[in-house]
Formats: sequence, structure tokens, C-alpha cells
Amino acid sequence: MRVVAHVDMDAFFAAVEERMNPHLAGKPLAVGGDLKRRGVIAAANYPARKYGLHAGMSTGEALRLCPELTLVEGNPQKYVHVSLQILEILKDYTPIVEPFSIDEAFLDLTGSPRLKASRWNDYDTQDSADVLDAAIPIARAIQRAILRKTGLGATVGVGPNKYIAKMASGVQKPRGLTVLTQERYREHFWPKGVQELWGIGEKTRVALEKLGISTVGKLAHFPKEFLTYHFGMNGDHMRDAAWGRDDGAVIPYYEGIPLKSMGHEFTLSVDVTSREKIAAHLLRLSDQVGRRMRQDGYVGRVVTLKLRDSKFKTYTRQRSLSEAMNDEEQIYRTAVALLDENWDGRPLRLLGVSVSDLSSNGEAIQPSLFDEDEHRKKMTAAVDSLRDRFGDSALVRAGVLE
Amino acid sequence: MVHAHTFPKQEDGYFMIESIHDPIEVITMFAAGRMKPIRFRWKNKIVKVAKVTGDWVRHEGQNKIHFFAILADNADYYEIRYDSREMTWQLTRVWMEG
Repeated sequence: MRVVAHVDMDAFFAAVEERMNPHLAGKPLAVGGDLKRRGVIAAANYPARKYGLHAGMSTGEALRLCPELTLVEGNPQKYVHVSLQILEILKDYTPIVEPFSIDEAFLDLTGSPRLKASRWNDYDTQDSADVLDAAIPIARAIQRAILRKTGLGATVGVGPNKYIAKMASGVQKPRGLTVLTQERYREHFWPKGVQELWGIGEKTRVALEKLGISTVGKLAHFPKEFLTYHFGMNGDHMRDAAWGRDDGAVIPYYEGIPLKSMGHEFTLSVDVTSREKIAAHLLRLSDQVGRRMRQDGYVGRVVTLKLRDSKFKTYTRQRSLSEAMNDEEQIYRTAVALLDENWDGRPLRLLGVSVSDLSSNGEAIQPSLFDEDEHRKKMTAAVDSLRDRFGDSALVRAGVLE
Repeated sequence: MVHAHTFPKQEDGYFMIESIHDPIEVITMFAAGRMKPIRFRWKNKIVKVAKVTGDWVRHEGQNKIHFFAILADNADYYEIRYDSREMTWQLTRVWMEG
């Protein structure tokens, strides 16, 4: 059997800000985007959560619920720097560390010398609870090392696979440690609502509710064929989740994780109804997406436009292209076409552009038959080279200037 | 020159935090492959660094911008940045008891 740990940093962005600026410690604090503009909060510390604040809430709503809230403008480089420090700490415990997000990672401890050094040398002959419990001293050591070296709190979940480890880390926070065997997992989660499962959002919860499936236990025992009929492949995944089954390997950081999509989105400072202004924002977003794809060596076939109106209703529309690409002109033209076909002029507060169905660069780019494309590719390469040297703001498209 | 914005102020006026981009002069120690600001001058005021509470780097093309989170000896909090290509320092964020 496997021993997997999920390390989840407690209120990470807010905790980093609190650690660096001791004046913030213990006060309700939220980290958000550009405070000159409207936006949403990216993280709230635990004192702020007592007021009902959570990631994704608008800053206006957050300040209404908690007038004494301190809002700090987020600083991604700061958080990435600390995240890399944490990755270095985790690598002391096993080389098989999968950074899952900026503040979460999976560790495969199965072959860890520290676990092997415990009395459980032959996992297959031991009771699963005993094998997993043997990881407790390692999990505690990880928490202590992170606290000592970064000043930050972490919660650890341990289980026989990634799914259970992830669910275990959500049982008790902050600075919690929860170990769940498959049996303990079922005991704990089967009586709970399906929305407790990782990957089940509000829409799926409502759809399951309509089928009479309200608890994880009911989901586990619902006929597989019915779930597949209603939810396709997701039906299988949901049932596996309810049973705590997951064969997914922990993919070490040095192997990289294939991306599914690349995108950028932007909350507007005021609701916008001007097509010209929206197109200018789409040009900037397309530029960012194309540049990132080229930097990371990806091409993609599907362009998705995301719009959120002033009533917070979100729409996504997508189009498949005949060839995979990473060219911002094509991304932009497709995004604008989707806008023109689907937008009825209602005020918008958020715009997003993404490209999916990605493959690595070498696999999909075909040599172009047209000189115009070649010319544009050369120009794009020249622009990229200037930005590599002088930074992304060195060259800006005229269309995005107001 | 304070040309960015004032962060939302607390109702009780207890403190204030500002984002700014003022040039500063910094005395820096270079040791063991690291740089550490010791004190700096901002608007004719000398700020003594009691503790560097964090540091990080931002890449702008091939250029590296080094950031430092600082607790001053009077307990004010600052964030400063060093542009390694321009060899200039700036104050970027201040938190003062007010």
C-alpha cells in the first residue's frame, strides 16, 4: 500500500503578509488584487474567516461583513518565493513531491527512509492503519520544519492515496494533522453532504440532490450505470471519490505536470459596456496568454472567452481552431468573434481568455504556407526576445493604450 | 512623492498603510552571498533596520528586482526594492502607527 501526505498551508497569502508585517498579526486580514480597483479577495486569515470572509468574495462584500478588515494588495512574487522555500523543505522528506498549487503539495512517503526506518518494514503484511500511523512523526516533523524555517503554519493529511490525503487535510485546520485509512475515510465522510467531496461544486450538488443523492454514502452506493448516464465520466470519478479510491500517482516536481489550459482574467474597475474597451482588454489578455504559452512551449486548439456581468452571472463560450497555435493574434480574433456572437451589450465586470487542448510546442506546430504568417511569427519572436531582456512591460500593443 | 494610493483606512484611524515609489538611499551589507539593508534615508529621515522579515525577487526580463520586508527600530514596517540593472533603491510600501 501507499502512504501519501497532503501538505496544505494555512491561509497562505495572509499568513505570509502577517509574518512579514507583525502589525497585521491577529487582526482580520484579507489579501486581494489591485486595491485601487474593485476585485475579489484571494485569501482571508482565520480572524477574518470568523466574519464569513472567504476567497473569491468581492472586496466590497468583505468590507461590509467586516468593517475593521485590513486589506493588503497581493504580491505574487512574494508568495512564489516562500512557496519555493517550502518545496525545498518538503524535499528533505521525499524526492517525490508534487506541488499541487502555490500553497499545497502531495508527498509520496511510501519509500521514505524515515518511514522505512520505523518498525513497519513490510507494508503489505501490516495493517493499513498502522502503516499510515507510522507517518505521523514525519508529518509532525514537516510541520515543525515549515514553522521553524518560514514562520508559517501547515496542515497535513495522510492517506493511502492522493484523494484521501487531500480530504484528510481538510478535516482539521489550521495546523491540523489527520490520518485516514479507507475505512476511517468512509466512516467520517459517508454521513456528510456530497458537497464535502473535493471536486463537487454547487451545480453538481444540486444535480445529485435531484437524483436523491444527498450524502457521500448514498453516492457511494448509487448504481454506477446511473451515475455514468447522468454525468458521463465524471459519474465514475464521483463514485470513486465517495469510496476514497484513487490510483493517481504523486508526480514529482522534476517531471512537471502537463497543463490542461492557460489563461488570464481581469476584473474591471467599473462595469464596462463599450465594445471598444472590452476589445482592448481582450487584446491585452490574449497577448499575455500567447506570450505565456510560447514561454512554456505550449500550443493549443481551443480558445475560451469568459464574461461575468454586473449581476455576477458568468458565461463561458469556446471555439476549436483547425490547428493548434500560440499566436496572440489568433487568440484575440477568436475571443472577439466569440464576444460579438454572444454578448448582448449588458455591463461586464470580468473578462477572461484561455486556451486549452494544449500540447507541447514540438508536437503540433505545422510550418506555415503563408508568408504573412511567417512574417508575424518573426515579429512575435522579436517582441518576445525584447520582453525576455527588458520585461513584459517593455513593449505594449497600441490597442491596449487608452 | 506619494503617487499611488492610500490603502483603506481603519475607521478608528489606528494605522495607515501606503504604496509609494520614492527613491531612497540605502546602506547595505553584502555577506555570505546575500545582501542586507542596514539603514536608509527617506525624505531626510533615517530609518534603522531592526529586522529583515522577508525577501524575494522579481524577474523583469533579464533584470532582477530584489525586495525586502523590513521592521524598523521604531516598529514601522517598510518594503523596499533594489533594481540590480539601474542600481537604484525605492521605498514601495509603508506601514506606520498613526
